[in-house]
Amino acid sequence: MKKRNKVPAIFGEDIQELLQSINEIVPIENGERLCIVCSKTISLDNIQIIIPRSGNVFQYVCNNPNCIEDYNCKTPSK
Amino acid sequence: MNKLVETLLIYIPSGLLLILAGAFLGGEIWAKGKIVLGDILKVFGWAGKNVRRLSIASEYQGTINSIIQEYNKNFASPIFPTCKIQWVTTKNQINILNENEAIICLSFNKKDHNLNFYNATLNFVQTGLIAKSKNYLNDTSRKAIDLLTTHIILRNYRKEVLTTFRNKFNEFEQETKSEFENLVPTNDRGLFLNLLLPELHYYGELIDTLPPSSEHNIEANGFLRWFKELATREIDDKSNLKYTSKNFKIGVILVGKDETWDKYGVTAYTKWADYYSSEGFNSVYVLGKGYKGFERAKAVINILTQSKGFDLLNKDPKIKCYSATGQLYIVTCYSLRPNKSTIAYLGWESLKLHFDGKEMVPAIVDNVQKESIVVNVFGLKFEVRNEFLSEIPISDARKTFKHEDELFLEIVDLDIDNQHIILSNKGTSTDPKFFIESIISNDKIYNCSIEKVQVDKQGIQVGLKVSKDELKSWIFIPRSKTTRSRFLDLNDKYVIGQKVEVVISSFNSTSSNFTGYINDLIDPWETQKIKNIKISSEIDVLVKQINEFSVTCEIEEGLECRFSQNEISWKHEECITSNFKIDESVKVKVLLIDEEKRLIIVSPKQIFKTPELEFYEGHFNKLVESEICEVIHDKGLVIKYGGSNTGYIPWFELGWGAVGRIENIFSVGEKITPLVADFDSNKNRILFSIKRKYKHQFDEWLDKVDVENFYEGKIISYFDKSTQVELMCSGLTVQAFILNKNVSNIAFIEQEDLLNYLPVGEIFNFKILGITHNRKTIELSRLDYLQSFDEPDFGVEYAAKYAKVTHLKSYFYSDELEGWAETPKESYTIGSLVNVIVVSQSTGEFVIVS
Repeated sequence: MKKRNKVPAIFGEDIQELLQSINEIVPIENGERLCIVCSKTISLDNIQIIIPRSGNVFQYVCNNPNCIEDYNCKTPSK
Repeated sequence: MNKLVETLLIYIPSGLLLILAGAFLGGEIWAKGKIVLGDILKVFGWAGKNVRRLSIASEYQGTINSIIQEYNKNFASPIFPTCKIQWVTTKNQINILNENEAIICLSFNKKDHNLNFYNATLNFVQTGLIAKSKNYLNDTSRKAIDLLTTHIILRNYRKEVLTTFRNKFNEFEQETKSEFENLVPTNDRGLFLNLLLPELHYYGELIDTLPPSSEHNIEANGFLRWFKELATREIDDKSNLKYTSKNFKIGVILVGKDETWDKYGVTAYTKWADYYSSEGFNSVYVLGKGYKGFERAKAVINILTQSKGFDLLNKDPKIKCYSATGQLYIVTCYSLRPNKSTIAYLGWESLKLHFDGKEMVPAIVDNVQKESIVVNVFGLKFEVRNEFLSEIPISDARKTFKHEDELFLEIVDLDIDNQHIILSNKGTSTDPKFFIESIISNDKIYNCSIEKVQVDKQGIQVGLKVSKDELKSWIFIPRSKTTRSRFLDLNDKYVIGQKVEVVISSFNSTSSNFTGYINDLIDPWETQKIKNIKISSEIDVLVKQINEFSVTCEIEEGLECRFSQNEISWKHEECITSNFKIDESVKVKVLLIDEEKRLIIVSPKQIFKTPELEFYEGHFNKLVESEICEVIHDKGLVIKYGGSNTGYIPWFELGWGAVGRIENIFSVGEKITPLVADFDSNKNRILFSIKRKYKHQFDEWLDKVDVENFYEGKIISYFDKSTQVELMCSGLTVQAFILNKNVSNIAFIEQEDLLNYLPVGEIFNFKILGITHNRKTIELSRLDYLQSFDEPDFGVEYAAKYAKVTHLKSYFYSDELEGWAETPKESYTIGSLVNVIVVSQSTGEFVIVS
């Protein structure tokens, strides 16, 4: 059977609007969100992954490939 | 591709092209069409956001799905899933956002496109491919497999993103890069995609149904080690051709040697397939090299699938490979699965045919006891007692036969109905009467003459043939027992007729040859030469092997060293491995000697010391007066030191915690005293550190800390929106940080308030909020500690610091108490001590009395 993985993705030009709709734009502009792997301050320029958590909480991974690797290594496979 | 598309657009009406591209997209029959569509739409990016979004989606899906579809079509049922982008927008986010399901960002604009695309590809490879088994591999191997898979995808379909890959590759840990380099040759030989990935996929599917166990880690890593040995073996190297563990049973049959093929034909290989099937192997691979290897492997496969009960899993076994010199050659890789019941039925049928035709049957020794051996014939097991083993008396079969010996036996008697058979090795070509038991059992040293350097049909030296009058046959010494070098020409070391001392180790019943080894072969890792080489020694070495990423050299026979591409020159454009020639002499500096891994890392460029390198060596781990000359947002500080030299402090070296926006804490012209921490030989630049100035005994502290306790800490300095705190616990010192939001339960703490709330040098109590092990950071909070005290008593005066005032309220703060009061008419100095009395315990309101 043909298997297909759906990849949820956000288009670069939609990020600001999406963050606004989930009330995350202000904390990000204030530098209050950190990369969950390297603790670097998340900005609109370096967001690579957004992870929705329970209770309207969102976590972020920056665009350093090392952080993508480390995040996925620690996330149980689906 | 972009250039081609742009050219096409000049000549062909763009509307027509868009219709064609739309057809590709709508049908989704050809993933490569999506890449073309992505490129066409890129040109029309000005037309609107939807076009740009469609362009990037087509590019991503096309790139990933092209290679997956091409890969899957080789198998009867698809192995890897394809991907489909599901865009998240403000309108659909409520329906699409799922808890814990990561959303990846993809950009159209040139600035972010390549990095985003690379990250998204890496993310898909990590989460979508062999995800069920990868978690059982160690971190380094898992990362290296992901990186190589990503590299293969990008190299095939998005070459322009490879530059980003190369730039970011250097940021991975050295161990990951080394493992990547180890895996590259396995892909060059076609086995990474055709053996490793499918087997890890099947393994993942299998263990997914089993309870989690640490055994899976052991067997998955063991399998990878075995695979690397197998896939990088040289012709005639002795390597293990099977891997068995609780859930892995994989056997390999190499169809290679002309000698074996000419003497025994297909049976020399089909008997191994019989053996693997009778031992319950899940997978059997038949590998061959060159067009001759393909034809022979095909002949073997035809027999295995048509008359021996094996199922063929892959459709296209031919893999195109290129040697280091760019020569094309073919590797054949057939993947088979034994069908046990068919094999058993066909086994007895084959025995009957051979018995009727009075033909010998090929057998493999399964196990050996003193009185008999058990052999595997056509996938069935039979016992052969000592009296049927040889024309000479065999008193102890264990001294003559060993596990996996290959024999040709005569069928003396056969009764299929009662499944009765008598097999005999007497007088056959594999009767061990040709060798003397005593020769094998003693450790005598024979003074032998060298007869010839043995080469295979491709001209590759495989070992020495030596002779001794008292032995009837020549003795074969495999190459690995004649020299420790992988590169040495044996003719340079050994001369025909030369005398060498040889110890006989075994008898090869297939070739009726003794096998031995040179008695006094020197291990280069135990000579004086290696003992004299130290870190920073400068030595001359000879180039022996060159690949895209590194160059391997020899210091002396068998003593190898290696340097990577970026250590070739201080100038990036000169870092090209192909500029070296085999056997060229190169002067290098020794950077690392790892006796355990038998690894020596060297550098040609570091022979020439730049002023920066000299300064680094003279000041390593020392503090240096410097001045900030540039603050790079999100990246780090460029500093001036020792006159006009410039160095760099990466942002993660600024503090043990979340330092925030660095431009808010540092300014150009500011004097600082960082520590000389590292040297970036790629950029010829000293890397400094501020955080390493502070004592940080993290690992020892981690063993002793109890996160439920409160700990005293001293305020050291301020970051942006956080403060550095030095904790002292059980005689150990560590650095931690507290975010502004965790300082007070009542007041909103702004940066300028920190001077009064947490003055530098003062001691406060903290609770540990979080520990990040890989970055060794400790996050603190004051909130719990302040709440841990009983409510203040009415009428009692408490002393605290007058810390903050707004037009409505004033706030005071101490280690154990905080509160607010209406702003008094008298003016108090911020930072002064005041006495307060509680007004309301529930709201934390006080009144200032003096």
